[in-house]
Amino acid sequence: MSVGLLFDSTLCIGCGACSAACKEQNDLPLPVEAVTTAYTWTTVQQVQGVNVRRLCMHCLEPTCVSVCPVGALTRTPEGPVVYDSARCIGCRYCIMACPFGVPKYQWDRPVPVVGKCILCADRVGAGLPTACASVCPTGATLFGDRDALVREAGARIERQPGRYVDHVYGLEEAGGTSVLMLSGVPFEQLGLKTDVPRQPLPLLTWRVLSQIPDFAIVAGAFLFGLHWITRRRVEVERFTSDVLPAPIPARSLGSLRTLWRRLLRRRRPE
Amino acid sequence: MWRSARFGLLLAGACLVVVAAAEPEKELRLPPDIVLDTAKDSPGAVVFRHTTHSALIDHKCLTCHPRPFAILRPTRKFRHDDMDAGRSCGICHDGKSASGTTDSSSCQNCHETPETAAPRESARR
Repeated sequence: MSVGLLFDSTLCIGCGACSAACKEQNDLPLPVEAVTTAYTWTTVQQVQGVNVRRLCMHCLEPTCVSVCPVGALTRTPEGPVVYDSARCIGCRYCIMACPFGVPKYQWDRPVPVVGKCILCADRVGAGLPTACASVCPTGATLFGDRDALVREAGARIERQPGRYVDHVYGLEEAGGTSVLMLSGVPFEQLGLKTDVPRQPLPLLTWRVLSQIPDFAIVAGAFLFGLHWITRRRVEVERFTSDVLPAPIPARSLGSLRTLWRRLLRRRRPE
Repeated sequence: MWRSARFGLLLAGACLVVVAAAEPEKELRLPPDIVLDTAKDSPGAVVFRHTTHSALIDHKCLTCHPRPFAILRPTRKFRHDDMDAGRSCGICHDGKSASGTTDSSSCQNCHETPETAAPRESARR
């Protein structure tokens, strides 16, 4: 089972309870900032009169996980994409790779780590809803099984086609995300990226990377064969030739390598 | 002709009603009333009601949460000493913005007596 959140921006009143609960659940310092930072993992922004939450989308195939060189970011089987600061080396590749610009860095710390929503992985693991969903007074943020939420989102659009844009944000974006969003205005107006590829982004590099072991073996065998043939040819030529290599002039004996080669050549059977 | 116009009007009215019914007002599901711990010499139980406080702050939960009041693990212990020092409820209940602790005539604004006790909203969760 894969869990997720359904955020319905038409129901959100911007009370900020989700941010407050997030701060409390994850022991994050106050205040709640207007944009997501390493210390504010979710916040409600008002864009053109519409309240919209900002948080990690929790991709089904996360790019941040695929690029992390030390495995500090992982996706749990339940859905949350979690972060282990003890493993992080601070390369910030995840920040560059995320198609939604979610991971944020603690630029103000001498030993910084990355901060991002972890979908309350502890709570979810214990069978509880996320902190944000548990306190939402309007039901704008719903927690549940992702498949059920996808059906619910579709049903809402079908029930009130005039109320919603006919698109569930997160259904296909970046190959699908655990966080789904509904809106009454086009999503790009809410500041959400709509040019995100519809396929899982790790696929882009995986198509190449998965071929590398095969390629290395084939190319290695080919190059070794080439080397063997060339070497054999030179050897045969040397044995069949009557003429000894010309003696090396004394002035080039400065190089130890040249001397060694010269000695080797002299030991050739006559 | 009038007949069709009247029919049209009726249809438009029906549509309006349907639209109004289809878009219900955003209903707030606020946490249940919180009965605070009562000291021995308390004149009566204090019940915190989100319903009376939420509208005053334009439903901005962030005004009170997560500080000074935790949202996930609500506190039930509040002291007059803290309030007089401008902490917890005393941030607003200072005797100026809202009734404070010093004025003996305003006790029952917070403390229930058998006469003033209002029905409590049953716990939702």
